[in-house]
Amino acid sequence: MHITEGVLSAPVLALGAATAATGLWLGLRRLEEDRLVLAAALAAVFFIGSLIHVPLGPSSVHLLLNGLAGLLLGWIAFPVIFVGLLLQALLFQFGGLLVLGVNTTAVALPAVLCGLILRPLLARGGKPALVAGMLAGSGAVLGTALLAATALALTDQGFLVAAKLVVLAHLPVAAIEGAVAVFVVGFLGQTRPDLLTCALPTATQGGAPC
Amino acid sequence: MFGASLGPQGFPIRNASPLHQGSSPLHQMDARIKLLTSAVCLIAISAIQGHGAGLAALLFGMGLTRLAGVSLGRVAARLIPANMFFIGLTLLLGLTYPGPALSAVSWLSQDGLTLALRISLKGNALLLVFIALLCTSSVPALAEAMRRLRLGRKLPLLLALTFRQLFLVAEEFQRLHRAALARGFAPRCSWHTYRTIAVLFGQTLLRSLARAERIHGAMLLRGFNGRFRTLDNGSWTAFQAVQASALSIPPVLITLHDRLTW
Repeated sequence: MHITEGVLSAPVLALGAATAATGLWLGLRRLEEDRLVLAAALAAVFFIGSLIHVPLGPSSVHLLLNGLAGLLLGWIAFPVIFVGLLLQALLFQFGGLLVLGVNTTAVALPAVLCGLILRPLLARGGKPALVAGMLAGSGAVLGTALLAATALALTDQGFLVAAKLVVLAHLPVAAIEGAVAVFVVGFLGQTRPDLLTCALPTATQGGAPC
Repeated sequence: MFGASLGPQGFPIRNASPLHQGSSPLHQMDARIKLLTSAVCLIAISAIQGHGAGLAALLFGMGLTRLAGVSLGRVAARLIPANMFFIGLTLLLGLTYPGPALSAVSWLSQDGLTLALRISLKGNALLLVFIALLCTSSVPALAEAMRRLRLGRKLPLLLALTFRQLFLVAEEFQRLHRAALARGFAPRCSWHTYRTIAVLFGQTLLRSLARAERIHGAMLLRGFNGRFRTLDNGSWTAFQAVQASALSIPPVLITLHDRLTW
């Protein structure tokens, strides 16, 4: 999910940058230095995951996987998603530097909120964890679409139709993300259930939780 | 390394061929100076309102990519996704934007097309400046520049370490994907496909975490002290600062002229 450079107004860009900076500060505060390598590995995994195209009818859509990131990482998803979006801008010119704050906020904020709300459910394992995966996978994508649409609508009233289309276009993606997140949570629950309670397992004792 | 595609999944990895290798004046410029210059240029260009100024900014961006020694063909390939978006936006705004209709085509909004043209000019100019100034530095060099500009300690390290592992994770996913294809996996719009992709992703995640633990251990054994060193450490010379200031002047002047005459 990227809004391209040149579209949004200066106040919207400034608001997005301020929100992203706050989220980054909160996320980095919870990320201990000895977990940076693992966090970087997860950032790379979610970067690659967001490039996977899945079939949808005669076409295909690419995954976002931000709900899963928020579910596994909590606030740390903010810097992880920021780094992923920055690398996408540098390597593929998806998005850009000025719009990076808005894009980070649109993708990471719903992810973190889903994570904060649904992680207690995830930690219970079994069916509750699958429900948490489905809600986070779908909810984060819908939240991202709503925030991107809000950014467009706040920029210019003439973007209202485009904003509605953004939300509509993400409905099938949200359904697929929910399904993929359920399967990923189910797979992790069978193979590494400890990751469902903390995805960065080498945290030093007494350190901040994920 | 990014030359290989990650299977028939539509990965854009192929487009990520590096632009940071070169000997142009922009390649030799210190990454910190380029970060600061790009901030000035991008903010100035984003404030443009008129079409003339937008066109001037686009020409400035093209000049900058020329100075960076990047061929227009390579740049054009990188601008395709953004311009697909701009074409869609032009159609949408032309059809739905409120205001007077175009005299020649009555069902198209004149204000919508005007706005779409301004966005397209500005968007392409911003991306060209971004490519010329920031994509001509390697990611580790940019991370080091962020650290030296005091943009935090953990964030630059996270960026460098993510880039370090990106290619390994991509190869891991490719390997698992090839193995799935060899076992007869044919992606379709079905639950089986979504489950298979989820398991491929989950396996990539587990293997990448296991490798990251080994990488972290190896880094600690080699005396890693929290600083990711790069051979691209540039030095900030007075001449480069003058060059950067000179590069920042045109977009600032274009924007000032635009805002005063708008």
